[in-house]
Amino acid sequence: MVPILTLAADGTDRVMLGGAYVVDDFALVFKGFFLLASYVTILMSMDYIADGDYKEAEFYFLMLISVVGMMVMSSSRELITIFVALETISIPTYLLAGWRKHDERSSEASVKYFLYGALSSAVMLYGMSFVYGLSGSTLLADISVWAGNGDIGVIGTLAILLTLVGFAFKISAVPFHFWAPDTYEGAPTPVTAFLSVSSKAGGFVGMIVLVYAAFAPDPAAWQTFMWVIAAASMTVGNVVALRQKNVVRMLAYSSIAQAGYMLVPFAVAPDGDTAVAFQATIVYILIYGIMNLGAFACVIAIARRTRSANIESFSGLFYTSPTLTVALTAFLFSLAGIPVLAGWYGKFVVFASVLDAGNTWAIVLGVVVAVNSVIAFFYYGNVCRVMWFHKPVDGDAHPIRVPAALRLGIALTMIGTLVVGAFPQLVAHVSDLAPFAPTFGG
Amino acid sequence: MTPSLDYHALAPELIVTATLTIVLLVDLFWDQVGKRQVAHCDHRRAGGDGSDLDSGC
Repeated sequence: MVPILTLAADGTDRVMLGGAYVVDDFALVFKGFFLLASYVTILMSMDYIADGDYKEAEFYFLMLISVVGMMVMSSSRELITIFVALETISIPTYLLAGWRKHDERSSEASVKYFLYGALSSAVMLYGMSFVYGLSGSTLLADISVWAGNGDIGVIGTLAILLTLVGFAFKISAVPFHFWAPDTYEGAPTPVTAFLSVSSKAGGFVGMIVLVYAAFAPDPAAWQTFMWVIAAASMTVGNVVALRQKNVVRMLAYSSIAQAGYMLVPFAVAPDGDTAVAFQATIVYILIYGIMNLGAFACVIAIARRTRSANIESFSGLFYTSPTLTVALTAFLFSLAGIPVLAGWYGKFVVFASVLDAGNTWAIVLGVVVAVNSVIAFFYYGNVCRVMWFHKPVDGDAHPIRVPAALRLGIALTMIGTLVVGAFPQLVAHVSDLAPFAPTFGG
Repeated sequence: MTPSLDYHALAPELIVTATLTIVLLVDLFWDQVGKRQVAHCDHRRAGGDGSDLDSGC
């Protein structure tokens, strides 16, 4: 974190490799986020990996490679660098998803994730090749000039959409989400947390950079696509999550729905103040990362005793481990957007971007967000109901022993959730990054 | 053409890369048997069912 802080204190944007690699405030915010998220993920992993007798060094090695990819992604301003960063994020996670070598579900998770990932990379690269062919450059600044030249034609629109499809897979947006539930459930739980927070945020950073720095001047090419996948992700994610019996699988569908909320500002950005929409996506990613990591840390702690992530196995947890119960309840309520936990501010900025756009389609999307926020409360609330009001299943009255590293991970994310919820201006400062966002429509 | 690199700007990536290299090197020279004992020791300490099984290993 020290070089990130010194670079932030320095305050000057550093441009390298002819504009392909830029270290500005936007990049620094996300580099800091990825580092902190990986610290927490490693805290969650330490006892899990040691207890399971998995290979430890290789596990952390692969996780750190993926983190390097995320840091490169936040500085990339060129198509090839973006693609290399995305693959650096993804390839180690294909292996990590299958880390439980003797578990068929883990192997299935890995293979499924790899196949879908390879397919989406191919589609994205195909789109990028068209973008390069039409614009004559891989630099986003040059592509922005091409997109602002007027009519980019059907091929241009197709090129942009194919490029964005690759990122839609990475963030598990509907209908590119099929890998997520099985992969999240089969992978080791710390890896699931890593995939649903850091890896997803890495995909979003790539999408932000491409949309705002390259494709922004021609919103007609991608705005409808963003609207559809935002609405579909929220609705499918939340409705299917209602039927889940397994907490990890429920959190997988929840993360699909959360990706939908994060896509809403993209869909409404061209109709309102770009800075408001830009800020909304960034704030939501940062807040989502904190609270979702906390929720997964609690699930890992609880599953140490239950040996299961089935919701019914969490019955009566309040009677034996009240602190863990309160912590998981707080994280789930935060994901649902209940004040004064951090999640409320994420929902608030999303609604602010919708109201700022103000047209009919934006308002309709706002209604979809509102309805889905209510639906989400039912499945988050169901887990809390089971923990607080059901009787313990096995009559075991011993409290769950939580390892120190995991306890620290839960404490850090809880502090983040409470502090950001009470003092949202701490993350609202990312609006200072708004100059990064160009004006839409050329 | 030699690209000009700003190593201060690249420091976060360089430090994480150095860390992951160190992780691999430490693993390479760390006695495999020792690692296995630590893993099993932790496993017993965790107790599976949440009970205290401190074994003094």
